[in-house]
Amino acid sequence: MIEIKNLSKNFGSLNVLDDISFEIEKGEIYGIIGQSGAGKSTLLRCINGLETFDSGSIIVDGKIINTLTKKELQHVQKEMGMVFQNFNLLSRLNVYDNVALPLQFWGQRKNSPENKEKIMNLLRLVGLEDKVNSKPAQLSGGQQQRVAIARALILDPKVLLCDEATSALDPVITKEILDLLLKINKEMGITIVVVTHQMEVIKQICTKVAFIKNGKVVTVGKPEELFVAPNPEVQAFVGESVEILPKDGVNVKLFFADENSESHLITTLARKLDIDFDICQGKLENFRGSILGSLIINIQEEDRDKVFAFLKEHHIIWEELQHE
Amino acid sequence: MSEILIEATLDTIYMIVGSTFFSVILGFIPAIIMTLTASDGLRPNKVVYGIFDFLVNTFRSFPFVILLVLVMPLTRAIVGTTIKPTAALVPLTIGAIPFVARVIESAFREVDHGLIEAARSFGASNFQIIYRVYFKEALPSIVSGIVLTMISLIGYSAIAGTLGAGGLGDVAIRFGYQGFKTEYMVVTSIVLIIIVQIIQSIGNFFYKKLS
Repeated sequence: MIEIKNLSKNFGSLNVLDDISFEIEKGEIYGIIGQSGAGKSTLLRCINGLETFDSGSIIVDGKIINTLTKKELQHVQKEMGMVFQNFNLLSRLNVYDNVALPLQFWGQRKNSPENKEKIMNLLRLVGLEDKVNSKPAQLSGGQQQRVAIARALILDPKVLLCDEATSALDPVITKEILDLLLKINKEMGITIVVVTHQMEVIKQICTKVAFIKNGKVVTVGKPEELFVAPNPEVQAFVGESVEILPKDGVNVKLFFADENSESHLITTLARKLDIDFDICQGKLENFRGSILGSLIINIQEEDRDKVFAFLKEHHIIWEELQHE
Repeated sequence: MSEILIEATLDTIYMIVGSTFFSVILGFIPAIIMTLTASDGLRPNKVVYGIFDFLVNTFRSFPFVILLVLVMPLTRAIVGTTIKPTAALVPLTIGAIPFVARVIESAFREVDHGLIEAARSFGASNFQIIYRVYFKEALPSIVSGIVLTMISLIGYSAIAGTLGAGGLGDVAIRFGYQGFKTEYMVVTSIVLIIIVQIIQSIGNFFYKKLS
């Protein structure tokens, strides 16, 4: 659906985007995560032609974005709805007119029977059919974002681009908006690209994720791979390095595919090897509804080989944590 | 006295409304050009923006009484005479255009850049963005800017009045000042104050209604 190849962009001597390549498949919910200033929003804006870039290419649905004329680009933009952090609704238009605006850009009448039905259907989808005549200022942040999502869907796009769409919202509302995005992805088959610095967003909805730092792609993979066994840079971003662990012995982090196998394995480990160990920390994480767990145990130095052999035998993913 | 005052009041209102009308229409053009060509605009162009910016500043800094005299040949060419309220419309309009242009430009500038980006993301053309986003969102500010213009035009029309345009300024100077009739001075001042109050109230009403 979207193919990014060796994309680079400079602001003077600053490399905003540095040789970025990855591919987004149709129907995916693709996450682009990184700190503020990592270049992820710029990357998203390159995809729909709001920003230009210096080298490389972006191919959307077979069309090479950087070779299109302005008119052709507008047609590609029509296929990609966009949702913003600050909603970007027109304050003087009511909900209905805000959703209708993109139709008017494309020369359609906002009050024709078919458009009326389309707008009302979308407002029903986002749960705001009773707010048709409200102005944005009368709505909460979450409701405004729902209007913005309806607006982004009005031109029947194939792709929905979300630029920090939940960053201005509280956790409960964020969850609701994410559920809405999941629903849109499932029911309408729309490919979604989300740019975010919130891990929760990635964990709750993304099927694939690219981690970006200083304009470079650090790693690409499934969210569970990225966060359960993170590479050091992702770990630093996630902030898990602040774990307080025993200074002696060996600290081992175990990863589990579900919560049941976890308790079972731990008791087996103690019983079979006849050793003592401490459980230091346990955590369950929810990735798109499936639970993944991690557990940190502290074992005696002399038990190290035994335990590692046991883990290997039981096909457990684990890593030894280094003392700081 | 009342007959002279009523006629003068009507002349003043005619000059204000007429010159506001023309200056708003003509002031939109440089305002849109400057909005488009500004460094963060839709079609950035330093040279074009620089030229319009310079022209607007220059014309705004002209003392009105000098502008009035300077454009007299133009006034004569358009209206056929340099006296009477209709003739005053030419310098009043020319004096107000840069004012209006600046007022509309800054109203446009206040429009959240995110809205422009959102419109672009849906494939809107520049014309549609001006008309459906900038104009729509900035309308309340444009209205209060036009009210401001009208009120300064009241002052300008009084100056024009002393140079043959008629209206309340003319009455105040001719009868009140040169004729030593203080009551004319007082009454014309009161009428001018009332006109300002009415225009401001109407403006506030529309501003509230629109925003």
